[in-house]
Amino acid sequence: MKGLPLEGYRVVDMTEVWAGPFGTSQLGDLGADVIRVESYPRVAQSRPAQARQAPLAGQTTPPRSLPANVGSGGAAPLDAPRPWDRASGYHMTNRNKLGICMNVLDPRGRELFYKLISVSDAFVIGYSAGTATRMGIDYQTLVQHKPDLVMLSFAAWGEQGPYQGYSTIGSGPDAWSGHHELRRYPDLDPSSVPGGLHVDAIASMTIPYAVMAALHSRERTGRGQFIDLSLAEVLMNHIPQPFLAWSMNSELAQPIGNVDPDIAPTGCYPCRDEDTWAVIVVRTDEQWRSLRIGIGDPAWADKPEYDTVAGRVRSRSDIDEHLTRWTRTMTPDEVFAKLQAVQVPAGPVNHVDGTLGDRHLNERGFYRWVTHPITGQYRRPAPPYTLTRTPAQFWRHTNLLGEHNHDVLCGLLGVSDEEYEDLIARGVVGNSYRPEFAIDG
Amino acid sequence: MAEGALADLRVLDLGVGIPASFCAKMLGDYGADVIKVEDPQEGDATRQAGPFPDNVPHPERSGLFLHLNMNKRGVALNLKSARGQELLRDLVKRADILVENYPPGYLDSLGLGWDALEEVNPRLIMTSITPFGLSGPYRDYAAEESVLFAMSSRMWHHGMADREPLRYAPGTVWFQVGQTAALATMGAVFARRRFGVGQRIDVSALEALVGNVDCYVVGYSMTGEKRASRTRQGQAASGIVRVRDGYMLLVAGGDRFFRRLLQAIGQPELADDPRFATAESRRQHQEEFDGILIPWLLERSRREVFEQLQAYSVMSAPLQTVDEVFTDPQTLARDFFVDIHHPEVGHLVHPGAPFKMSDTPWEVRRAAPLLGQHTADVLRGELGVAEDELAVLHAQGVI
Repeated sequence: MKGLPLEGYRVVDMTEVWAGPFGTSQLGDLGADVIRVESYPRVAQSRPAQARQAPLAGQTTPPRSLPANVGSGGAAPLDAPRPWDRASGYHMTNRNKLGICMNVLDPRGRELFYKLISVSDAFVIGYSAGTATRMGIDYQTLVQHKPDLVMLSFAAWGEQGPYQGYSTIGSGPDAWSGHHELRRYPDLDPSSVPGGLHVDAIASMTIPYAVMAALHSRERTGRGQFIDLSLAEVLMNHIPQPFLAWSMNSELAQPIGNVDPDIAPTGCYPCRDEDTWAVIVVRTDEQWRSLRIGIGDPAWADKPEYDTVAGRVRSRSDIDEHLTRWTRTMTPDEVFAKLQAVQVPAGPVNHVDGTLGDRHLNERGFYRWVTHPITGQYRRPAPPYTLTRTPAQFWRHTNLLGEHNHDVLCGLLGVSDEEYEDLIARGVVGNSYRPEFAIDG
Repeated sequence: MAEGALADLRVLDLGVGIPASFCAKMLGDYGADVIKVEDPQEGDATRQAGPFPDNVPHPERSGLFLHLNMNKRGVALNLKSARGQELLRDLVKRADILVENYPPGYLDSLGLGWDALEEVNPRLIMTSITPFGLSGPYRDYAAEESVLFAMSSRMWHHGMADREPLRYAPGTVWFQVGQTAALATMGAVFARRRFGVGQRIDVSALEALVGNVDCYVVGYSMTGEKRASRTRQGQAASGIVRVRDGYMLLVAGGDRFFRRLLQAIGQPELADDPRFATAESRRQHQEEFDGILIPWLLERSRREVFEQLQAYSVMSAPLQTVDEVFTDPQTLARDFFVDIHHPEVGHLVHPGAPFKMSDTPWEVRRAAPLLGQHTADVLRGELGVAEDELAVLHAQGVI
């Protein structure tokens, strides 16, 4: 790795599951030296369920039950060695990092953590609000070790406020903020859609942005700072219209499903085979004329009242009925090809294989083969943007548990080899989990 | 408090619609000096998008536009005219960042593409947001956010098994793409500091979705296993549950959280009941457990359930509508919403900071600009255009 924008910055990552680990991976993509500190000896959430259940080779501890929080996703083969290094959910969210596995609650572990902070630029922590203070690694304490530290703490409802210490996952802010209610089926109650983790996706873009804004400011002022990030508040920034509709008109936005009430036809249409679908959106009169050509200029569409948006909206159900008859003879990819040929916005509802096989993404070189010492080769999406002159690289494979304990503790922090052996012997540092410490979600 | 974290950055926002405008808003709200460049006739398309006061459309009263463009100055410039193009190039000379989401090739057709602008300002960062990216076979395909959502595979998983896949709330895709672009833009700012180079940023909305955590490409590539389509986890004590006055999100399927849940509902002894000992046994005896849990829930309000569950650290949240969020104790304590006065709509309460920085503020320095509100100030004050030329340009429809 050379020639990346954040070379020379060191970031400590103490986060779990989705938003935090993927957010700090973004900083690694840009060249920062990200050091992930994983909990020891207790098994962390990010090394998923199956990994936690798996007994070590030669032992027969029975698998424990699945935790409710399967957000980290991905199964690891139960009988393979080092299952915690195989879980796909962990690979999905973690790349371009070094990893150490250390008990920060142990006095020696904590001292080493302070030392690590003293040579780092930023620290991202994603535990329930108040946890950092209980662990002795809050901002006030850490700035004594690194006066210009940038520290970002994120929690479902933020660091400050009456919900301090409250516990949830990404679907909590999704429910609390109103997004869940807005994305249900309009004709069904909210239990019609599952808990949503959209906030993890957007927070994973916001967390590294915030850290970089603070580092940018530090370059100018010489001062670090503390960033209090609430997942709920990030999400509310992404759905401003319903909040504004309420504050303007005391009007409560209703869920609209796939149908934009102002235009027609629009929605998700069933295709030829069972559970196959395509999305079609006709916004303008010109697109309507194109659609007619794209679907073979059928007689039913030749009606003057369909030529205007208002007329089509009035006849939405008739048009949808006819259009559905057409989509039911097609595969989603055929709908896509026929309608894009006439410049009508349309696309297949892809399952993951369709997205991975998509010819456009493949021609753009979006999927990259990576090699991992335990799991071998697999493909992963490139970073979600392209810097054309300093393109991000996958320069460090997904860190194994405790893989860089020695490099970081001895190489970076100056721990002697004797001391290092003692830390391992006393269970302060490790690189594999023992089943008696396994917890569930 | 000091100035904003990004106060030394100057940004040109050529955004039409949500993604580029939101990217520029993220920069501007944290201090950057953002100039919004709009067409003198049409303005940004979001001026036509609601909500509007009393639902009466008016280009100066769009809630979405007012929200996306707070803290920006507004310049109206006809980029199809030669003089307008020249003035934009002059603005680019003084800018650090240009953000746009025109269709691929459109700015090039006006002589304002990357090659031309880089020549004017070699240190320029140009963030281009398009549906499918600046290259590749779909480059010029027509897109809507639901099309992108569908193609990314996220839609496949959202909804019920016997129903059509469902999108998220309108706009969410574009906001995600805009935030991704803001992150990329900051990456380029650091690259410029380190290497002295500007650069083009290619943000494909589809890649911004697929390249995030919730598309499961890595899992599929590693294991060959696809996630089940739109089916429930089928876990006891997890999901959206009914309570007396609405619904709650409850996540208590795992052993540890299940035991906490039992304590919270006053039935700790059930932890020793073999029917409920493991997630698998709870699944088998879900109806029996529902028989215990559901009456407890139905007797209580969301607020009561939430406080009781959180007292035992059971992962949970009330399901609210947006009006309820305004008065939620957490919202009030954090002072999240901000009241902004705008000449056309008066006072309007907006969502506030997505994150709070202790040393450099997120702050509202100005309301969104009226169309062309700062054209004369910027052209005269910063580009040195003479007063009499301004009159001519106005008469010609250039500004």
